[in-house]
Amino acid sequence: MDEMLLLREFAKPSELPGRDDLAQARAKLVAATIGTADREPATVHPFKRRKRVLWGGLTAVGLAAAITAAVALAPADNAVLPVPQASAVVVLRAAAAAALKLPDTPPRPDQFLYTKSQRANGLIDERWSSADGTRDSLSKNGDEDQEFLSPGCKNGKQVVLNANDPKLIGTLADCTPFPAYNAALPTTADGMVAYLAGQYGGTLDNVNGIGKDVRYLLGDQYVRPDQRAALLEAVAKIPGLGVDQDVKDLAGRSGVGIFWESPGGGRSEFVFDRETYQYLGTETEAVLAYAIVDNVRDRS
Amino acid sequence: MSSPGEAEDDAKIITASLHDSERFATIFDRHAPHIQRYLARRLGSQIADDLAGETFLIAFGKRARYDPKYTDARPWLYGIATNLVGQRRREEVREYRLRAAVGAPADEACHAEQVAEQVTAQAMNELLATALAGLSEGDRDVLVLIAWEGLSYEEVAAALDIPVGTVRSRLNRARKKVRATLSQSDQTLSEEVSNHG
Repeated sequence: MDEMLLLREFAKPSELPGRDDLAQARAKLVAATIGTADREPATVHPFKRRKRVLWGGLTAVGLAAAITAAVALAPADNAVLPVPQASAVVVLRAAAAAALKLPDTPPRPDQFLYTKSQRANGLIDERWSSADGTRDSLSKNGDEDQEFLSPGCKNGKQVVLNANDPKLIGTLADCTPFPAYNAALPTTADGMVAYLAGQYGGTLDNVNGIGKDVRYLLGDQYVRPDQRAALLEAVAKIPGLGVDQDVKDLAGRSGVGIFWESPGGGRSEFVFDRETYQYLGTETEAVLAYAIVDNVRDRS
Repeated sequence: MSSPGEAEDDAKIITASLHDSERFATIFDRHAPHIQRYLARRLGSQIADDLAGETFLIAFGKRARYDPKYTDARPWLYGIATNLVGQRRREEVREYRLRAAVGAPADEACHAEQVAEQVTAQAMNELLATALAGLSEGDRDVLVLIAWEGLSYEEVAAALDIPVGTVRSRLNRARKKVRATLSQSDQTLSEEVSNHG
């Protein structure tokens, strides 16, 4: 048995798309490129970086508790904790403290997490995700009113909506539910570190993978205030964090960015409101709404 | 007919696009088909059309940070696309399960042996979907970039910004897990074939 050969056969489609299939995407790119010459390329970066401050500049009132906490996090035998890390820890502790003040509204199994976000191309996504994964979830992507229904998974079965063989449409297929709410997420920083590190060999060194997991939890899942605070405190333990003291998110909101870079130039960035330390989004997605609703298409 | 940029490598075009931004369209023309197909393989073609465009917009925004020592931009673009896939795990697993559920079109007049083959293929696809869904995201990224997209270890390392050693270890782990899922179910497969045959 050659699993690589079997996997290759599983890859569909096998044909490359034609020029017509890509025309719309190309037109959007060309539109973005026009008129940006002779300007600083950073101005078209999703995060409009005006100034990077690795240390200092944290003028927010009410951070005393967070700073104390950050100092407490520094290993006792390490008098030379890297300064950028300390600074990032301060911001994340403030964000964790802000998270604890959020309303605690865990959804009922029959409810939905409603999220609205803006992406790098300016398009708006909306999603209604079933809290327990058994109800039909809905995504509206972009400005073309594209809707994707994701059938709920009940008792391990879900309805087939799309299939090349029309006979399969409407039949039931095996499935695994994707709940938008996981009540079992850890509520302590150590518990969350163990949870995040669990699938990466028990460490936080895989910053790319961890970054994606954090992004998923913060944006695509309902995470209760104590779980969210634990998550942000866990992020504070990732090695090599830096702070962008002055960033704008994709929706143009001012914020403080927490980022980490790997040697090859890869970067994960999370933005928090500079006043409230509320989570605003990432370098590819600005969170515009995040609420528990009763029905698909409800917005509040 | 070829444009003046055709003969240049990607690094030179990306560097030139810092001052002449419209040159970046050449990067799209060279690589968009592969990036769109990759996204379609992971998320289905509808989402892929949208995300392929987004991949290039992000790449355009990040072009000042492109390392010109890489003359081929495709691994870099695969990396950006893979990050977008990471935000849509649910759709990804759904796509694999859907692909398994669709299977090959049934042929009403086919011989029993062909039915058996078809059942085997269908069951195999379901196992592959289960195996892929069961991998950690990092392992799955490495596995599909190598198995589906034909990237070298070094290219995957550049795409995902991880050391080559990590690519090897993730690939080994992923292959082992996929093999385990497939072999555990050999018995189930043969039973299904005999029932239908």
